[in-house]
Amino acid sequence: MLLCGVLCGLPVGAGAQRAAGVEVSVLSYNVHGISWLFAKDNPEGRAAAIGWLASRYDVVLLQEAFEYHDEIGGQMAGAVAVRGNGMRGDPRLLLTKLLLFPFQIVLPDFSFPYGSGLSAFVAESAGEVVEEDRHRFDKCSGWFERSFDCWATKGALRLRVRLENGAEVDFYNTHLDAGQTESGIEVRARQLNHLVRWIERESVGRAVVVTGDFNTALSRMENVEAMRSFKQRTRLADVGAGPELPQWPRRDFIFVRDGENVALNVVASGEALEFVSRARALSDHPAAYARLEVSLQ
Amino acid sequence: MSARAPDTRRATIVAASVLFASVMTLGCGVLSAPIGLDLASKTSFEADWHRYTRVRTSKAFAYAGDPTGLSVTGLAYAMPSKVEAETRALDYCEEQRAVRGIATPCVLLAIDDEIVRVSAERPLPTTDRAGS
Repeated sequence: MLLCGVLCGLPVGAGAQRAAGVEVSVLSYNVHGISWLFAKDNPEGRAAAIGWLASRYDVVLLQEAFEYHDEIGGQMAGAVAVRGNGMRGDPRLLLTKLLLFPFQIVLPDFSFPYGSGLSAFVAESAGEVVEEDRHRFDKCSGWFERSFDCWATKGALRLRVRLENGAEVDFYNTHLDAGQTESGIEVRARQLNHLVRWIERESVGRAVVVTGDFNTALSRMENVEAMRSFKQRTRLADVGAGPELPQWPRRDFIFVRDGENVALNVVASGEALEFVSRARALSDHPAAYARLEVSLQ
Repeated sequence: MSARAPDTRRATIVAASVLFASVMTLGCGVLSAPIGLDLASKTSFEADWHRYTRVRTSKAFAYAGDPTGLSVTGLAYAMPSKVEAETRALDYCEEQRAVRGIATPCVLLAIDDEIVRVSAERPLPTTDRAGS
């Protein structure tokens, strides 16, 4: 280390100049927060439980919080809440909205068709949200196939958070289309490409955390290759926050990268098992968590 | 015209009542349901294996970890040769194994329709066998 310090032209003991790191806990969770008319269970009850459990985390990034952003946020005292993009101005969506409007006045938690369903909650004790931004994907992959992707307006949400040690981290939260048809796979690749370009434009030289539901089952070769390309282009690394229970059919992701003067060190990652109890879970996705040590260099 | 108006009104009232009753019934059912969703009965390993039985040759299936617990898989298919399928399946599996911190290296479970690794401790999933 000393030899390298001399040979590499670094001041000896450069490591000691690193400012004290702060630990930040991150949760990424697709909460299956569609209306109770479609969910066939009691999503409002789940939402309250999710919010209460999620309040232990510093940065909470949710997908499919369509109807229950407020219920979840209601359990998270002392957190700044940010929502993703709203519904796009597609005439078919606007007409549906108009036709359903009388029902939406009467029925609670029924605001279909949807926006991105992305939500973020940042504990004030952990840091300050200094910037927020939304990106809407321009294509979707189907109205009546299994995934019903076009009834929502998928996108990505970006938050720049200044932590208590002064380090700034860009958090991205996204939800890509789920279609598994050829056109669905094509649309998802396009959305991933948009996300890459957005990260490249907004976070040059910055520390980045990307979380979300990428709808990429790794049993498909094209998905594995797409995620490899995504990681290479963005220089992001998968923290390995995959499911620990064997029953989960899919996994969501948390990716990180260092910035020019901010280092992210993964302390721990995995499935947040508190969202599962025996044979029941609070969503149809596993919750992914990471504990990161963030230090200024 | 005047005789039809009460009929229309009655039909509207009946339709609204049916809709209201349906929503109330559905709503009560939802509210009385236990909180939470059932976990799948099939494991992800079984699902991956099921998919493997349906993809085109040349193909290979690799895995690491415990199929009934934490495990990762690597599937390669529609490859020009068996060797390339094996290499790619192991490569995909190893990438996931490293990320998930599984200690034991990936092994090949099947090449095309041939099972190459079966042991009493790690039986095959109960779903379709390769090639069946």
